[in-house]
Amino acid sequence: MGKLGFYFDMEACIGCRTCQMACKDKNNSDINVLFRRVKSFETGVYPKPDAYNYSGSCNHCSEAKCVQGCPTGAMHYAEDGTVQQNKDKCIGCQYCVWNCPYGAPQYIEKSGVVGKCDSCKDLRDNGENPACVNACIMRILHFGDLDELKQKYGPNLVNELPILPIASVTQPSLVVKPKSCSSDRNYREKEV
Amino acid sequence: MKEIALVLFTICIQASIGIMVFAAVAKLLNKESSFKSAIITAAGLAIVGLLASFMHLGRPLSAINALSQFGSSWLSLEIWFTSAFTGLTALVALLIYVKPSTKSAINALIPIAAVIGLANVFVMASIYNFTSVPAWQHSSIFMEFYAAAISMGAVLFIVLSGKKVGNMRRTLAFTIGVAVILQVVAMELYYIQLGANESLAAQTSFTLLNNMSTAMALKWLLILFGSGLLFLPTMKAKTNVLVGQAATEVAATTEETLSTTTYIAAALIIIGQIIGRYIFYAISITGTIGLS
Repeated sequence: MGKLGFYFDMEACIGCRTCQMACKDKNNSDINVLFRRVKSFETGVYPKPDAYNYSGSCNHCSEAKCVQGCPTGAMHYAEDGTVQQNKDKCIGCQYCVWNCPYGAPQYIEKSGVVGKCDSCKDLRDNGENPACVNACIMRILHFGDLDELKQKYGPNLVNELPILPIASVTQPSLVVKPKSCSSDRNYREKEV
Repeated sequence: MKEIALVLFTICIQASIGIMVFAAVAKLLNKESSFKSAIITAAGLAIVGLLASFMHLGRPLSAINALSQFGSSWLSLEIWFTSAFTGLTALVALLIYVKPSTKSAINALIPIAAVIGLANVFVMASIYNFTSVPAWQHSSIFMEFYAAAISMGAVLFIVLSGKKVGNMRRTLAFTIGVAVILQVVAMELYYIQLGANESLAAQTSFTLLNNMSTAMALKWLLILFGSGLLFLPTMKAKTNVLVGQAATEVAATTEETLSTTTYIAAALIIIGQIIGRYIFYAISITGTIGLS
């Protein structure tokens, strides 16, 4: 079995943020805490404006900087290769928040520890999909064996875009079907 | 200010490391002097710094978990080194205070603490260099941290050792001067390269830095003026060639001026380094989605 990760079809995403809300609901996240976050971007100008959305969460990187930097071993690799967090070991030093180039770990004031997407491991252990995948009304978010996902949705999949950090740093377990305008380096984030 | 605990932690620990480094050097030259005030202050600063680091944690009572992973990351190394340095420095201070007769143990422990401390400054800078914050991914921050440790440590050592510092005073002032000049050169390169960095996170940091120009100017003015002050009294003392009672009076006045000037220099250098550290944390923007 290859590495497990997310597939996201940017071409078909309408930016409804149902995945974001399903994640928030599943994790009972506080205000301002989002383990999956949809961001919207604009490119070009009239008469050729364009826009795209990006739905991102923890990418369960092979070279995860959160795991490499964690002083307590709270951030670790599970047996299935995903990056998991042992909340009992976390001391809330927030070093992972500075280290992750995808903004995945987030500090939760109330509990004094960091939280992040665990790819709904509890659901997956019972043979179900992560909450965000099942909630996506466009059916464009999937989780599974990256090699199989690439075979199924390839061949033009990427894990690096102008809006994303350089993939070689952390080797994210992510494949994105990009929208052509997402290769434009002159993007502007749109507040929604 | 969100990272006030880390400003306090890094400044106190680095100042303490600096004091211990110069105490170790001074001990090599003068084994008999105990440098009691300097070492007790170093221990106090290290303990305050260590306690401040707990304030940064979301769960300070679980801090012991951080000792379970020696060497797995820069941060775990820092936690070990800081604990070892603080423990050793506190032990030396305790021995000097309670059992000053154990000179050989004291003389052996001071250089060990100093070496661990110097390694710790490197580890501290590496922690920030490793993050995804472009404003911290620069070799100049190593110089910034070492210059802070050397300048604060040396000036505090001069102030706290009084007359015992003797002939070392000029060398210490010169060391501070060199450290501060290297800090200026390193940070000048840093500012230029941060401005030229195309990453949006770096650009945002640069804008924040630009908005803090007054604080930055104040940082350098205080550090440079403070370091410069250390050279004045020695030059003044040289010009006083007098005899008899007049010489004694002038010498006393010069000493008083020297001591006041040193206190002012110490305050200026330390406040300047604190402002610099505040800026260091205030401009941190993590490179993330949409800010690459």
